[in-house]
Amino acid sequence: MSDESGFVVRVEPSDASIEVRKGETLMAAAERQGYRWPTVCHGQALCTACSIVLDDDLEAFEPAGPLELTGLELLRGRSFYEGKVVRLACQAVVVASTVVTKRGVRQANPGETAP
Amino acid sequence: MMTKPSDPFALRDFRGMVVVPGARYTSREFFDLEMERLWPRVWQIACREEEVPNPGDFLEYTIGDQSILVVRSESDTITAFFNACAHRGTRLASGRGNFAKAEIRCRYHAWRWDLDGDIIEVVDRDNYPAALTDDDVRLGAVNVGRWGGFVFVNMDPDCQPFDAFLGDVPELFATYRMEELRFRSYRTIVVNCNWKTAVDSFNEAYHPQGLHPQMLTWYDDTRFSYARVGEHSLYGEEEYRQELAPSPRLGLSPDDYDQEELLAEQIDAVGGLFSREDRGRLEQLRRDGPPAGESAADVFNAIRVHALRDRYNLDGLTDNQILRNGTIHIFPNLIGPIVHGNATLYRARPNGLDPDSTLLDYWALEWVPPGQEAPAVERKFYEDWSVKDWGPINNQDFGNFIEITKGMKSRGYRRGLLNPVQEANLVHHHQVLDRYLAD
Repeated sequence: MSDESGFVVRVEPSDASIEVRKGETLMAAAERQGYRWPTVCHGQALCTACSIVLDDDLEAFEPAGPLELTGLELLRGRSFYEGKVVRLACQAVVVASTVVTKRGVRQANPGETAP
Repeated sequence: MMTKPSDPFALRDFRGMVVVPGARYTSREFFDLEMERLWPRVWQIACREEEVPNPGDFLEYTIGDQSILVVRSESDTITAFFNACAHRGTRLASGRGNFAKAEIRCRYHAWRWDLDGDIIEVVDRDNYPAALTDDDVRLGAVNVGRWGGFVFVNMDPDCQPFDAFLGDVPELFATYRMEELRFRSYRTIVVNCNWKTAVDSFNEAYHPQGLHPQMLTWYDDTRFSYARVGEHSLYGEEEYRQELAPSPRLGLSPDDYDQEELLAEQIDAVGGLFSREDRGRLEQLRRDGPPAGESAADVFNAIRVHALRDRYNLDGLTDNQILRNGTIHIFPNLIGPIVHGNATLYRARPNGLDPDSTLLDYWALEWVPPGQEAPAVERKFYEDWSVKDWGPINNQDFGNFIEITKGMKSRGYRRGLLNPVQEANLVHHHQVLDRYLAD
């Protein structure tokens, strides 16, 4: 997919490749393509269950907005996230193809819409 | 009187469940009923014994517009009095302190009493009729009960026996040795809600999936059982081991989540328990995973047990008993989680006579390892809770109190439809409250 129409984000460790349209968040793109993405709050930046760890290209997403920053604040003091670059997939708008890490991303079972 | 169908405060049966009118939280009339019939007649926690450690030490406990003096009258005796001079009613003492020379002296006309409340001197007593007896000028006695290091008081001379009030609580919580707990921190905040709203928020694990969704990636909020214990209640697990699993609400299979992440969250949650040696083992577990044939949860639980046995004397308890925990609600207003070694307890009291304002004491308590001294703790008071960051979970709870208070006052809010399983302890709280209000 060219940069004109969108981007591809590979999600480790499941190796899912998500095609993301311009202006779209990673989680929205994944759900549109039938993936099941861990979430409790379904896009409100409240639960942090959708969080992704960025593997390399830190410029592949638009900077976090106020809502996402408030959500990321909930990860403060949680040692697992110390020293890692973390974003919320429900808020992070993709601007370049990249690779991220998120467990639990997989094709939804038939009839399964959301956790 | 509380059960008439026309009574706006009555708990009612509705489609097979008990519904709770919002007016029980919002109305001045109901609050006044509590002030008249609940607080003057119920056993309630005034303080910890360690707050009045030496003979002569006193502490003023307030509830609504009532003030009670808790006094260490002798090394192992604690007494309590209404905080009012028997002569003209002047408040005798405030805050905390020590009655010098074991005398309580009124600042107005200098009458004096001993620490049992018996009169030492009525100044110019010969001005009074000879018929005036010492009994006429005693300080008004308040009943005292002691359990688990807590000093309970009861203003009602005809109150139920303290042991009957506690019921099975001492036996159920014996292994937690609450009498050995000491304050690690003592904070009091003012929150804008009814005192029951504050109690409710800690009395169920139904709300984390709504209010604290960030916990669900590492916290199984569905595993609790709820039980009533006389007037009190608890929730938790009898045989508790940490499974290192997220909430089933996330719908994840074991392949979908990261054991290292769950382990990190659990270590964060247990906090300062671990020694350097234990921390080394935990780091190794995080780094290398569990040995073949063992799960990370097995190893983590073993390290927790080791840490506790290393720090405290837990002879006679099995590993599973040591890992047990529970959130207790002591009627009417003490609530919080207890594990072996520490407790986080909240005491919610009406702030003066305002139905919409609560003094919330937030107590962190822990055992003091053998050979160590209990820390000196500075009490902190926050007129406005929001000036301080209490961590995400408390911030969410405290911030939600005002939303509940506002919403409950809506003309469109008729009654609480409490979850009959996960909020059964809240229903019980209201039912016990009604017993005090009714007779």
